[in-house]
Amino acid sequence: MLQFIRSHAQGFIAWVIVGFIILVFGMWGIQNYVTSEGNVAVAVVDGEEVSQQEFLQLYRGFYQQRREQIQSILGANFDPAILDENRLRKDVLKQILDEKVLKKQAEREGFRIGDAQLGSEIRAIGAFQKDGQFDKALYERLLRNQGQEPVGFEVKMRQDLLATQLTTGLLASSFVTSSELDLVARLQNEQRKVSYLVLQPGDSTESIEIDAAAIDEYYQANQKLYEIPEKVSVAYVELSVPDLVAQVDVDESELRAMYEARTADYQTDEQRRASHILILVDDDSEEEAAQSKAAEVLDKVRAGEDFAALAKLYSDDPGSAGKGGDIGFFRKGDMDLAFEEAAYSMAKGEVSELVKSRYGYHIIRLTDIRGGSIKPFDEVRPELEREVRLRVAQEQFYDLSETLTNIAYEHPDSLQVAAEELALPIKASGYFSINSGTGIAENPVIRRAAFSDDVYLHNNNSELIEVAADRVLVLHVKDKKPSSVRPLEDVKADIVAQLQTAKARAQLESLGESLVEKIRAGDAAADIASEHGTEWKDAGFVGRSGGAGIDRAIVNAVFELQKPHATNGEQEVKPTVSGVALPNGGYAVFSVTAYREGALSEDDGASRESMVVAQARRMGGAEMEAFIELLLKQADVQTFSENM
Amino acid sequence: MSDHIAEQEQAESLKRWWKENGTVVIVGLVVGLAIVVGYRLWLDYTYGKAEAASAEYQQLMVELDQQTYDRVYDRGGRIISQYESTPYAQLASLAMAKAYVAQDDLAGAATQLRRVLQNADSEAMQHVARLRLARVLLSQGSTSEALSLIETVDGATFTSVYEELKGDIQLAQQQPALARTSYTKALALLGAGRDRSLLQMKLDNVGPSN
Repeated sequence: MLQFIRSHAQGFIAWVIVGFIILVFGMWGIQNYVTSEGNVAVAVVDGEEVSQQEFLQLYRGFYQQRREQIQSILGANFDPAILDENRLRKDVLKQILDEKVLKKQAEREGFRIGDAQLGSEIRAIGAFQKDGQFDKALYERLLRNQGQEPVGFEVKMRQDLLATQLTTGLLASSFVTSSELDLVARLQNEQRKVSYLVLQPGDSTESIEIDAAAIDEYYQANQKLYEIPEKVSVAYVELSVPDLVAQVDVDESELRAMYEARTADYQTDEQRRASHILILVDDDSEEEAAQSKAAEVLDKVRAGEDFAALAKLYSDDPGSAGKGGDIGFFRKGDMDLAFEEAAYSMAKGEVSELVKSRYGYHIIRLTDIRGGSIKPFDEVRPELEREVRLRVAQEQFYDLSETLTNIAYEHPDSLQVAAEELALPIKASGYFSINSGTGIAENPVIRRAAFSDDVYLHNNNSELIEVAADRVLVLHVKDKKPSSVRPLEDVKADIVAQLQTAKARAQLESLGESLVEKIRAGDAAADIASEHGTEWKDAGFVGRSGGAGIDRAIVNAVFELQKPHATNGEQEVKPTVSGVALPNGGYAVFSVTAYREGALSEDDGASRESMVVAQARRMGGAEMEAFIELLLKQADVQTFSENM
Repeated sequence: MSDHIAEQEQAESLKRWWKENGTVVIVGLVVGLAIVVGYRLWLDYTYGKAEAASAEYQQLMVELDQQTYDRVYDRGGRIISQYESTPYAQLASLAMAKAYVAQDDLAGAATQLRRVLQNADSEAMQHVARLRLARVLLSQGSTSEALSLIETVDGATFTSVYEELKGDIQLAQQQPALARTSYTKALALLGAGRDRSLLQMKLDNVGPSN
């Protein structure tokens, strides 16, 4: 074949072959050969791949973070299903693509990070520092733990720095001019002059008549509200370490062996208590005098004189002399060696010969001995037994979990076989819905498993469900209660109350609207207010943040009003009259009669500074977003969401 | 025997060929090598220059953050003159423009932003420079110059920002009806995650369309 090609390579056959190769590469692209090398791509940006691995790494971090966030808010009510994973995936991909195009742009424009700069950035990372100093060994170890090599990390870091230079270059240079700031202040601090009246809702709506047809209509239209969700009760076989602990057969000889192996742990140091009389030797020249004095005292002790009294009289140890020579309990190693040897060779109550220590001559009387014993087996037995039970139970737990999984899978129609094989009782739950339950069904994982297609529809055993680290179970549907709608009789009172409230609101609202019309037509607002038992109040100039006594809903409505025309400074306008329903069921009619431009108070430097920062950030953020969007638009981006 | 003759003939012809073409081959090799080496040297030079500019620029950002504006002007000017061919010259100008604005020297800011607008290679960077320049012009009171700078530009992804600015200019020109149209467009094109409140205030402020 090769020979054939070589000899004909000059002719048209060569062109056919070349043409064929061009066609293959042209139609499928080199990309296919590159990407199919084991690693799947989630996106390709200008020919550069974003690998699935890279994506997942970032995604897991994101997921964990979001999960902890929500968990810290919801606590025990947290259900992992609350996280919208698809949304999260899209966010993560968007972030990766943003970073990619920024990096590419920075490279294209010729941004560079020198080695020295890269080095100082890496050295500044706190995680790589020990005692405030960069630690090379720590750096390499941390990277290895994450499966990275320093070289690879440095390449990535360099790219990140390039992109950061570009983005901070845009964001940090974003500014706001004084006159722009004035415009913002004019708007944000604007005040509007408001007068208003409030129609309060009546105390009771019970007298409002609701006809039967309306009740029925409401009931039919809101069946969803009165639906009792489908419920299920399940049978389950449960394995738990605490249960197994109780059943473990404990072998007495094993406990004995453990006890023997640990005697060192159960031994307590012996302590001795002594009294002494010290005759100090300050100077070698006094040694003889001291010795004879000590011998004298010893004779007195031997003669039966009171040791404590003698100590008080003769002892040169100021700490113990007052206490009859008592120096309390001590351990081996606490005392002068000669003293210790003597004290540890005596029996309780015995008085020593003269003992020479580096201080001088001691007369020692041993007064007490304690400890030095080994805790007896019976005392530590419960502790050992607990330990053995837990260890054995845990081993059994893992083995039995596996067995339970297998049997429940091999005999999916009931739990009977599993229960018999493992000698476990079949327990039963109460009824619960997908959204709430008690007992084991408090756990959302259990509820979801019970309502999964495989379990609920196909009547199979569930998979092994981990309720806690030491507790697993397999469940099977026992009984189903289909969803139903509460009968009208049950909910009638409820509906009537709802409709009465709604009707009362509607009545008040249409009354309010008619008042708006009257005031617009020129009727005196004050008269209208008193006609309806309320008051036309002048709130004066009110800012966006509201004012004393005026309902927030009114303030919001006032500032949602469009100006009748552009105004300057403080300017009266033809009154704009409007109304708004209040959250408490009342209705407010209000009139805006003048506008006053906001201003920056010159003396308030702090609020000016914070406004400068906020506005510069707003402008910079808008520019940055458009900047990235443009780069994305200009780049050749393909995404493969199926690989995410 | 005939093989030997053939070999000799081949050697002869090779020698002849070398005599005729040898010089060309050597010259070619030398030139080729020189190009490769030269290119590498040139690359090292430009990289070195960009890296030096990069380090200077990093320092400039610290000074901008610390609001030591005299230093910003000083270092920024040096980056622009010494590293004009690097992208850091553009970023230095942006940083200097911010410093000038902070010190209410709008003319100084405009000079820097004009420089970026003229020299920036990328379309995205040009949009940023143009928008900022037009805002400075507006703040200087040169409303018609500001408007003519941005009026005919295809804003691409920057359109919402352009329209908001156009509205600001038109409002300053006492043209609330035109401003309303611009603000409405800006609001419609605003990115989903962005804060709408100020833009909405601007729109409400110009009064209803007639």
